[in-house]
Amino acid sequence: MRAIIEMLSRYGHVVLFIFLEFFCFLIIINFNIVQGEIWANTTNIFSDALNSRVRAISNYSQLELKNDSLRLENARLLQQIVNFKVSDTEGNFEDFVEEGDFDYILHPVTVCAKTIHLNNNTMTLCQGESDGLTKRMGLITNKGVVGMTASCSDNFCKALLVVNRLSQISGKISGKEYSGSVNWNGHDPRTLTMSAVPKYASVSLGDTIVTSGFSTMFPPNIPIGIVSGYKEVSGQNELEIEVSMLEDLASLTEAYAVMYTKTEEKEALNIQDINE
Amino acid sequence: MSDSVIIGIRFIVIVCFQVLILKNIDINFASFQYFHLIIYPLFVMLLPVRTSKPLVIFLAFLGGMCVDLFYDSPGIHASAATLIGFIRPNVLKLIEPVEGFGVSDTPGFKSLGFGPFLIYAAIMLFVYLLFYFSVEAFSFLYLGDILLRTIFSFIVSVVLLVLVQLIFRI
Repeated sequence: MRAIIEMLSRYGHVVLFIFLEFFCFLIIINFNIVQGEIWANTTNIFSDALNSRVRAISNYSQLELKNDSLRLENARLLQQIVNFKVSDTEGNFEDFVEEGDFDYILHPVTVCAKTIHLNNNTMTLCQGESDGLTKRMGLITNKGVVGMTASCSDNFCKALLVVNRLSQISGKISGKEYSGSVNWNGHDPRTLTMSAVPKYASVSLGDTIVTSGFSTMFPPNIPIGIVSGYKEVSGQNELEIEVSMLEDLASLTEAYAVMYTKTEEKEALNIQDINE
Repeated sequence: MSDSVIIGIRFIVIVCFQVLILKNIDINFASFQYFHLIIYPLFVMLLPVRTSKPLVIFLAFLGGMCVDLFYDSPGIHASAATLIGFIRPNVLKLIEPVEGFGVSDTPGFKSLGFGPFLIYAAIMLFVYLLFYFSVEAFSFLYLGDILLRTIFSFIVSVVLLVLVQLIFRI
């Protein structure tokens, strides 16, 4: 106690000085317009700098969450575009979206594991039947076709990549209605081969190859790749087109699985045809 | 009359002189607006040497607030006045005579002499003005402006302050 009193008697004036200056400062920034504004702006600059640091850190910790929500959002938007393209409704996009009657439903999926250097390249998706995936669904990205699901468990799916000897996609030359089947020849994981295109089809380098929509797996007009070369197959009435893919499969981490709501209807029809 | 009454009257007279007369004197030339006559810190300087430190600081703050009321700048004069109240003992130590101050000395013209008083007043006034104009600008972006104001105001104010002392000889 004595020590405190001694301290006060020795440094009391310092305390008083600091207190009064602080008080003055408060009055200045509260009752003087110019100084108040300068103070507000200055503190804003500092607090903004601090806030942006903090936000950067907290953003980083929430990246995964945000990624997920963005993936869902992307899927929703891509779904609207895909459905709008296949619909024959005239009128504007917003009306169409409002109706919400979509043929193709898109599910965002992530890649757990994949190979691209083998003959039969597959990938494992981290989503399964519990996320709405089934077998024989097409996998696309915003750049184009990447594969199709082959079998699904509750939480995982096995999928074929387009660079798989077994994969076969029905494609066509964009803008012209010449269709053919797109396969992989097993060499370069960046190029596919399109065969069964009639010789008289006028193909030129740079044409886009898109899905035809004949199958139930892919909606029509999803890009597959770009024509990088073609040659006539000797002895046959068809062209062999070299298609370089737009999507880099080696760095693929995310995709969208396409579910066609009328798959059963369409396939039942095929069986009926055959049976009759 | 007791010392405290004299100090009280001196306080009132100096502050009134500052806010009623000096405030209205405009000696600026067109765009050269760097002259401000400020001599009221004189009352802080003239408090008796033995006045306790906290009391000096508090009286200085009070005087500053009174001036602020008339200058419409709450806190700006007061903060500068509080500062010179705080540094007063240190400045006094600089000009302390060899034999020390007397018990009831007032650090004015009479007891200090012309030279020491001029140094004392100049230091106090310069610190006051520099701090005052800094706080008024509230940003060191205007450093040139602050320095010009301080220097020119210092010159005219210190001349006026010496004149006042020569007339009243405290």
